[in-house]
Amino acid sequence: MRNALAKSILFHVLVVAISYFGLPVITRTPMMTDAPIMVDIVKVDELTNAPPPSPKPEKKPEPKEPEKPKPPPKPVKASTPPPPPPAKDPEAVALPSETKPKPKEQPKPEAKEEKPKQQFSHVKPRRKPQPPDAFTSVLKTVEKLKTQPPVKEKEKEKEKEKAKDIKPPKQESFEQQMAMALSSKTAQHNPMRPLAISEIDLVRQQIRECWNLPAGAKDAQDLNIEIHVVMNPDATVREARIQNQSRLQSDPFFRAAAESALRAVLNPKCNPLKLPPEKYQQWQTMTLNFDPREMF
Amino acid sequence: MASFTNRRPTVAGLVAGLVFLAIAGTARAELRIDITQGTVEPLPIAITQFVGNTQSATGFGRDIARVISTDLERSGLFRPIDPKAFIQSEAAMQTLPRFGDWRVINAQALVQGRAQLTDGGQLRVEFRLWDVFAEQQMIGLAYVTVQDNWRQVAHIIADAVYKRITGEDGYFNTRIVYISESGPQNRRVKRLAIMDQDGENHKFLTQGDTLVLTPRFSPTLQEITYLSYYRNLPRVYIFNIDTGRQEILGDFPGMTFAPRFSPDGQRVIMSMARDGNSEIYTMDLRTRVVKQLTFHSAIDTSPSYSPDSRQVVFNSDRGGTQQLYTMDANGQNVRRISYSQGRYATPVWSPRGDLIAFTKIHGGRFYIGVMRTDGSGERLLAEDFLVESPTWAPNGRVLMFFRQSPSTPDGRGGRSRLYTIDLTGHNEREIVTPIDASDPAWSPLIR
Repeated sequence: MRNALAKSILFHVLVVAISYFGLPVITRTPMMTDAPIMVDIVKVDELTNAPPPSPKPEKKPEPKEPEKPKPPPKPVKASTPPPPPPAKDPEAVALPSETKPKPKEQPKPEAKEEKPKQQFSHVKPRRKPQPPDAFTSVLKTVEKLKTQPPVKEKEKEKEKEKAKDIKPPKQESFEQQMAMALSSKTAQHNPMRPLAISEIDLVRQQIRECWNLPAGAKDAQDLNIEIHVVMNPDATVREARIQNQSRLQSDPFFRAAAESALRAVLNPKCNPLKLPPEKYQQWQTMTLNFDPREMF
Repeated sequence: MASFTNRRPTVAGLVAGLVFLAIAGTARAELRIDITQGTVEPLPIAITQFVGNTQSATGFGRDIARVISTDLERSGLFRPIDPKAFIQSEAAMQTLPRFGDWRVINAQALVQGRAQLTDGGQLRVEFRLWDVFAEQQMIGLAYVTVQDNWRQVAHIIADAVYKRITGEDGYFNTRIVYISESGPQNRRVKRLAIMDQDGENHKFLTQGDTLVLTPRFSPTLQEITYLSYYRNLPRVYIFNIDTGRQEILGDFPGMTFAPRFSPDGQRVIMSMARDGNSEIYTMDLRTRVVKQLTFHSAIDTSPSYSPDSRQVVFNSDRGGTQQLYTMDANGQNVRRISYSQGRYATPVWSPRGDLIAFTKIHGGRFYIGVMRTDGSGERLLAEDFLVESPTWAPNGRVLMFFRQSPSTPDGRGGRSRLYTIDLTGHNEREIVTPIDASDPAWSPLIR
């Protein structure tokens, strides 16, 4: 009798314990530790204040840089701007620093979608066509010959020009390129100011995602398109018009490029644009100047 | 009234001036944003089944939409959306597309059409291309043809869509001639074959009893020039596709090879070897007058005209190694344009005029590349054990070549196949041929 009571108590304690702690795991799996993902919270501001290009930690594992020893002395701390409180800033943009740039991910679904098409095609892709990384050159080249030393002076010049023309800037890290892109128009990094991306950069970045530029077209780098837009207060496009209407009629290349820019402006992905609503007066009408020169 | 207006002008003028200043001020300060980067992705396009009026017309409509879709997809510039994602049905679209339904599935362009069999048994195909964002028709055309030509109509529509969206002529309604190879290496049977650019409608033009090499299309389309052997001497022939008739181009004292038509189709430019030296000649096809263009002790060969017929690119070893040179069409002003290491061969001037494609041999490897007409901006697009004979699509945006991959390390055996690659270098495709293939030549657009 007492034995049974003890058994019952033991059993109930066990049940309660299991329901509280859960079943014991016999095959112990190692603890999953999530690698911390660095996220810089960037404030939208009048002026871009991007940090100077920092060396990518993955590429240089040895911390032998002259910059590394600096952190111990305190004064430098002031140069790393404190991230602004995210709650105050609804339009804060997270800059992915560790994660790979987006464009690299995009080709995958496309390649998948193309596969079924092969079934009825008599032509099959030898390798899956991959749209280039948005940060490298649009035009690909088989790069093996690029490292050869030039023989003559004239060749040297040509070689230089070639390198300028085609060599995709693969050595640069994402941060470097980002910083370069951001600092292309605006002032240099001021360590006293908070990290910020300008409102214009934000829009520029947004439209870049929507603009499918005409790669491979003849003299594509010279096709400069201006689109005049009238905006709604909710930052959607009310009206968009291609400037230079006369060339639109006469030049089919220009028309194709201009329409690609117009599609970018009208793309649902780019509506509404990330514009500050309180400054509607300023962006009620805008001119968007599409200039693909940097891409080639 | 007069006194009133006399009194007020200062105030009115002041107000007007202020308003003007304000407008001018805002106009001057109008926000201007430079977009210097974009993405390079295929354009998402929805190609709906063409609606038919009878059972068999529906079949044509389905096939035509499929051919348009594969044509555009293969160009690498378009991404046809899976029809399973379509919200609006083809039949419901006959009045006007509901653009919202197409925006939702991220279509930026929309192709719809109808295929109808007329009482006379002819096929009438019409199509419309819509800009989904702007909600406007971009182009709409109709064609009437015999039923057997449905495939060609589909290619024509794909060309029209391509041209309207990219601003450049398409290249889908074109054909390819190439050398079809079979048999063992030492007794290779080489036959002239022709097919559509997508590999369909394949047929052999010659029987394979004589060796044929380097076929080239005439810009007038019905004729091919190529090299064949006559009494054990290589000679340039002209072959008429429609009649099947072939004739020897002139009776030359030496052997003639590497023929190519001039852009107007009136002349043939070629090499002729005589006394151990080869020079470049042209021959007027109507008058049969022959003119020698180069006079040099080195080997000059593989000439190709620029599209304006003013210049000729060729290769020559006059500089010690085989390099590319350009000259005026009369043989004057010879300039070397290639300077890097390696040998260059088979230059072809782009129909667009801006680039020259070539084969490059360096370090035991073959490359297909392009350079500007002054030799700058060299880019190598394809590389392999053997890649050779680039030929341009008529719009100058895609190159076709053949690639041989050896099955043994000493380079014997293996398959030889045709490939296309676009100028960006990112979109390489195989053109499937029944047996081994080499020396492709792309036809001009069939009008």
